[in-house]
Amino acid sequence: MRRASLVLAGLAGLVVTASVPRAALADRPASRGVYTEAGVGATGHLGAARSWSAIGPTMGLRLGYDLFSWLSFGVATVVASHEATPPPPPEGEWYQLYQARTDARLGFRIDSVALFVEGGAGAAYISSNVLGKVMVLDPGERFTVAFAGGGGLEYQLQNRHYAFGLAATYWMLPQFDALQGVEGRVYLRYTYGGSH
Amino acid sequence: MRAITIVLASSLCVFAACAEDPQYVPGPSSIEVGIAGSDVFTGTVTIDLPVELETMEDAIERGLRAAELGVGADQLAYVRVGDFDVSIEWTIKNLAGSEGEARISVNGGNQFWYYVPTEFVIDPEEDEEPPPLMGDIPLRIADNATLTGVFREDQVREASIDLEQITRAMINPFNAVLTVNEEDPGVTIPPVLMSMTDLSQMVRFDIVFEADRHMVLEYGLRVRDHRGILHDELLSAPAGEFVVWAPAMFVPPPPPP
Repeated sequence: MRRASLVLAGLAGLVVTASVPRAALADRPASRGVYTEAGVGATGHLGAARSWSAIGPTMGLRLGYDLFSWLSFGVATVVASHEATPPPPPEGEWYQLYQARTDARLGFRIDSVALFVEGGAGAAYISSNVLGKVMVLDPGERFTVAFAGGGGLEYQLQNRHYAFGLAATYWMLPQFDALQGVEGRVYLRYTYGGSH
Repeated sequence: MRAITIVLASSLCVFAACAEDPQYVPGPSSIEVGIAGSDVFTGTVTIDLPVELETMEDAIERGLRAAELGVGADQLAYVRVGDFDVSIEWTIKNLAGSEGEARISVNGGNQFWYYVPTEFVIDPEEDEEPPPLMGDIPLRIADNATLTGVFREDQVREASIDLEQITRAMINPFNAVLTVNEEDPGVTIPPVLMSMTDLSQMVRFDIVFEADRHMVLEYGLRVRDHRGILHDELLSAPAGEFVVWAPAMFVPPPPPP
């Protein structure tokens, strides 16, 4: 279902991009090519895991390449820090959840604003077994595959290399008892290439 | 290229930072005392740290260190003070309908000896029982209330030192337990002065819970492993993959005639 949504969004992006007046894009040139993003935000868990982890700060880095103006591929690393809230003891303990994903991003731009959807897969690592008490983790389990999908919007600055963005991502970690969460972040993007 | 370097460096830093993240060893069972109809008001549980078997490299390194100190390799512990930072977190629930008092005491052992304070009582009418390595503080708990607390890492470290003083250094347990030794250069384990980081780390914890009415104690160990020798699967580790500690109970020598 999600894959179908991504394809539809991509097609919609293509259609819209094709219909955007060239003058509008020319007003706000944006670089295309290799880019990096750095973002901060917050992550919360979904489902039963909401009772075992508080919402926590998150930060992420993304390195990508614009294959076309509407399609890019990237590698994203995200770390989130959460206070564990299972029945005590322990109490007041924190853990970190690290994710590294490769993903694809489909999008289009109208003047200074771009919209995108993205999806990908990778791996995740949890720093401690504090959630083992509530059966999220099996003994010795630290790594899992990770799936993620989301979307956002980007505001292109006058400087063609820079853009600010706002994004939300849903992720799911199958081996951690299908732990799920949503992260919201603001980010700054820097693109190395020339304008288009 | 610079961006790739930044991303890789950040990732490495992130994973390096988590190398000593705490692991939580859950208590094998809660301790419930004072159940209506019973007269059991004290309970004890023992937890052994699940440490991986010593590798050949570790044994060689230990042998070299022992030779430097001038002691036999069997006198230098596999797990030494500083290898782990351990704290014990606990929660007491008062299940009775009235305020009550509870105590938690922690004793235990290293790979050589374990300490039982009552072994120092030869004449119950004359000898006072020495204090436990940690705890034994009265805690007032309101009816149906919950109280949480922790034996901190520095307390467990001090307990490891005290245990070595009581057993291999033959120091009076009152003196050992009631003196803080963290600034000392070491402990004399005859015939040599061993530095603090050469002393044995506690790997066995005997948790004693005592209450005057119906209460339950939940507890767990929080371990920061600086050597990477704690078994990943903790108490679920398969037999044969971790050290089975078999310390001897320390019995003080009889008083001189």
